[in-house]
Amino acid sequence: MTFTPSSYSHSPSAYYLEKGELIKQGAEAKVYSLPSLFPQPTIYNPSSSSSSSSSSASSSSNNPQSSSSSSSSSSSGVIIKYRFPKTYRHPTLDQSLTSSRLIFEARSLSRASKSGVIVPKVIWVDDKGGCIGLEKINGWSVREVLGGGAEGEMEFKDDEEIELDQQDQHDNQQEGKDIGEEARDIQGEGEYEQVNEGWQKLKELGVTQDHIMRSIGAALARLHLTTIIHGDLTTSNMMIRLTPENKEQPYEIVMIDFGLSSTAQFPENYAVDLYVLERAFASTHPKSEKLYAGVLEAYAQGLGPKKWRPIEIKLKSVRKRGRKRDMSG
Amino acid sequence: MTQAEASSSKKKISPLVRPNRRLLCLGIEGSANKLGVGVISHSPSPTSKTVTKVTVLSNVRHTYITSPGEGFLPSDTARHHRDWIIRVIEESIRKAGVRWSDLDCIAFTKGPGMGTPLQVGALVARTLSLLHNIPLIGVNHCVGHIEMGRQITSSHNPIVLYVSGGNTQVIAYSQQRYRIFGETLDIAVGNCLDRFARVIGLRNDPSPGYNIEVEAKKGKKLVQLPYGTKGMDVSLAGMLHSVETYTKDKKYRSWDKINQEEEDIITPYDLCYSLQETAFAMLVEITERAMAHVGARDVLIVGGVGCNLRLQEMMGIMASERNGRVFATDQSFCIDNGIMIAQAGLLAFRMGQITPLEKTGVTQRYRTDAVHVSWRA
Amino acid sequence: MASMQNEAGPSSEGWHTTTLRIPFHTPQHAEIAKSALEVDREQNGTFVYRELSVENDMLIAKYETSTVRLLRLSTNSCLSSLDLVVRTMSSFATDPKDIPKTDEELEKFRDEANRISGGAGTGIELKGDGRGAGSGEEVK
Repeated sequence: MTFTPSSYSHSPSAYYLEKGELIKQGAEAKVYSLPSLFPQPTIYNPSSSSSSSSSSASSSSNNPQSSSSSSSSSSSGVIIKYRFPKTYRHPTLDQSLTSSRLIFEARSLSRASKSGVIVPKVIWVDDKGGCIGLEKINGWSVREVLGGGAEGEMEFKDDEEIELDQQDQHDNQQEGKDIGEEARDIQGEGEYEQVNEGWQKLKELGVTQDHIMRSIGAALARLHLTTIIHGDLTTSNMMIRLTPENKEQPYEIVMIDFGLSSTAQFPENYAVDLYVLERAFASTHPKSEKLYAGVLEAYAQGLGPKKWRPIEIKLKSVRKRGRKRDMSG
Repeated sequence: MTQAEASSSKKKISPLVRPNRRLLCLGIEGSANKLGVGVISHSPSPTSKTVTKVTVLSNVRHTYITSPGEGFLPSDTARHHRDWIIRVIEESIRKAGVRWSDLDCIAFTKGPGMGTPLQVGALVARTLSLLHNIPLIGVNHCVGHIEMGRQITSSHNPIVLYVSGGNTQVIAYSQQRYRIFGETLDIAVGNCLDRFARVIGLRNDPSPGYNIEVEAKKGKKLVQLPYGTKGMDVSLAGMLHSVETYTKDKKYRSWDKINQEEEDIITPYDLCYSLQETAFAMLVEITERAMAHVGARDVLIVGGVGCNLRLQEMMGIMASERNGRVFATDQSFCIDNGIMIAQAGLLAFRMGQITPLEKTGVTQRYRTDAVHVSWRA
Repeated sequence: MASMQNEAGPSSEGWHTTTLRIPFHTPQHAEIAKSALEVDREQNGTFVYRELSVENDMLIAKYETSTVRLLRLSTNSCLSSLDLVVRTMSSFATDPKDIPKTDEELEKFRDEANRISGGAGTGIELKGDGRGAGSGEEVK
C-alpha cells in the first residue's frame, strides 16, 4: 500500500484513524477498531524464491512510542481512542483538556497494569493528535449483561406521552393491562430476563449476578489499592471478558476508559469514586440497587478493614451531602 | 384509540386523563428573591379528543433587588414577600378574570429554597385554601421548572439541565421520577456567578448573572481556571476561588483603571469571559456525558442561568453535533414565576395528589428525585 | 381545642411566657388562622413552647421560652405571620354582603387590568411550539 507521508505529517495517528472502523462515539471520544497497528504480515510460499514472513522489521518504524506489545494484543485487535476537538469549548481550553486527559489516561493504565489490575494494555500514545491506542477487550460491558441495553439503545425512549379521553382510557383498562406492559417492554427498563448474549454465556458457565457484583467489588479494591481512582465509574466502563484458561473463574472484569482518572490522596476521593458507581447503578438499572450491596462487600473485603473504615465513613457523608445539596433558590 | 393503534404508534399512554371541563390553578412562588403568582388553566381542546389546552391566564411578580455588591438575605427577602404578596395575588386574580370559587386548586412552592420566604407563600396559600375551601398542592420548585419547560417546548424526554442560583443538576426522567444524574458537589453555578458579580461590583439589576453576561462579551483573554468536572458531577468552588484571586493579581486592572494602551493586563471583562467559558464548558460536558449514558438527544435548560445566551449557544453546538436540539429559549421557564408552580400543581391535582393541610410545611432541602411524578408514564 | 407544639417543658422551670389574644371577625376566621399557623414548626423547637387555641372569636397564642430573647423572636415572628393572615383575610375573604360578580363584569375588570399594566387579556395558550408566556409582568 502506498501513502504520501506529507498528508499524515500533522498527526501520525491520522493514518490509523483512516484505516480503522468507528465502533463507538461517546461524549469524549470516538473509538476506532483495527485488527492491528502493524500491517498484516505477508507470507511467501516456500516454493518461490526468497523469504518468509517479513512483518516486524518494516513496521517498527511506525510506532515510536509503543510499550513492548506482546502478540496477544494484535490477536484480539486494537482500539484507537480519538479525543476529537469540542467546538463548544474555547480552543485553548479544549487543547489543554484533551492533552492532559490523554496523558493521565496513559499513565494510569500503565501504573494500574503494573500493579496487577486488569486493564487494557497501552500500545500507542499521540497526545498532539489526541489519540491513544489500546488493547481491544472482547467481551460485554457490565451494562449490557445486566440488561440496561447497549449505550444509546432501548432504555431511553423519546416517546410522546399522549393523554386519552376519559372513555378511551377506561376502555384500555378494561382490555387488560396489555398496553401498559407492552409500553413498558418497549422502554426496556432493566429486565434481567431479556435475552442477551453475554448473560446467556455466563449463565451457562454457572455465573450468577451476585458473583459478577463481587468480582466488580474485588476489581475496584485492587484498583484503589494502587491509589488510582477511575473518575468515571459506570456500568458501561466495566467489561466482562471470558477467560477459558482460568480454572478458578471463567471470566474477569476489565476496567476501561480511564480518561478521567487521577491519583487519590484522601478517603473522600475513593468514596466519591464509589458513589459515582452507586449512582450510575441507581439511575440506569433502578431495580438492581440491592445487588450493589454485593459490590461494596467484596470491595471492603479486598481493601481490608483498616483501609475500608475511613472510606466507609466518607461514603456515608458523601451520600448525605447529595441529599443536602439543595440550598437556597 | 384501540390497543392495536396504541402499540403501533409506539406512544406511551400517559396516566393523565383529559379533563372534561376547564380546570384552574393559582400558583404561588417565593423560594428566592422573585415573588411570582400566576393562574393557569387546563381545558379540553375543542378540536382534538386527545389534546388538553394549557393557557396562562395571568403571570405577575415582584422582584426583590438589593444594592450592588449585596446578596439577598432570607429575613429581608421574607419581609419583601410579606409586603408584596397580597398585591401580587390581587393583580393575578384580577388579570385572569376569575373568581375564587372558580379555582380548582392552589399550588405553592414547598421547596427547595430559603426557609422564611417560602413560609410566606405557604401561609397565604393555606389561609386562602381554608377561606374558600380549595385544595392545596405543595410543589417542588425544580419540578415546576421542568414541567413548564416540557409544556412549552413539547420536547418529550430531554435531558434537563437545571441551573439557577441555588441549584445545578442534570436530570433525566425515568419511571415516574426525575432522577439526578449529575450535580454540583459544592455551589450552584448561579450562585458562583452572582458572588463573582458582587466581588467586582456589578449591579444586581436586573440580575447579577445578566450583567456578567453583558461584560463577558467585551472579554478578550482567557485566563486559566481550574476545570472541575468529576465524572458526572462538577465542582465550582475551586474555580470561583481562583477567579476571585485573579482580582488581586498584579496584572489585574479594575474598571476605572483600564488603560487601553497597556498590553498584558487582565480586565474584569476578561475574568467574566473566562468564568463563563470555563463554567459553561463544564456544564455542557456533564450534560453530554449524561446524554451519552442514556442515549438522549435533546436538552432542556431551565432555571435562571438558562437565560444566558452563551450557555445556550455552547449547548446548542454540542447538541447539534449529536443530532439533537436544545430547548432554552423562553424566559417562562428560566426565571422563577408563579405559573410554573401552577402548572406542576395542576398536573399533580389531576392525578389526585393533593397535599393535606398538616403536610403543607415548607422544606429548604427538597430533592428533585423525591417527587413521585404520577402524571407521567 | 388546643394544639400542642412540641415536647419543650412549660411553666415548671420559671420560663418566660407571653399570651397573645387576637380577636377575629368570626370564630370560623379564628379557626382558620389557627389551622394555617400551626402547620409551621417553631424554629427553636426545644426551647420554645407554643400553644395555639381558639376561644369564641379569639385566637390565643401562648409562648413559653427559656430566654427572653427567644420570647421576643418567637412572638415577633408570630405577629408577622398573624399580620399576613389577617391581611389575606381582609383582602380575599368572601364578604357575605358582596354581590357575586357576573362574568361580564369580570371580563371588564380583567381587560382593564391587562390594559393598564400589560398582560394578555384572554390568556396565552402554551401550544408546545417553543413560545412561552414571557416572563410575566412586574407589579408596581
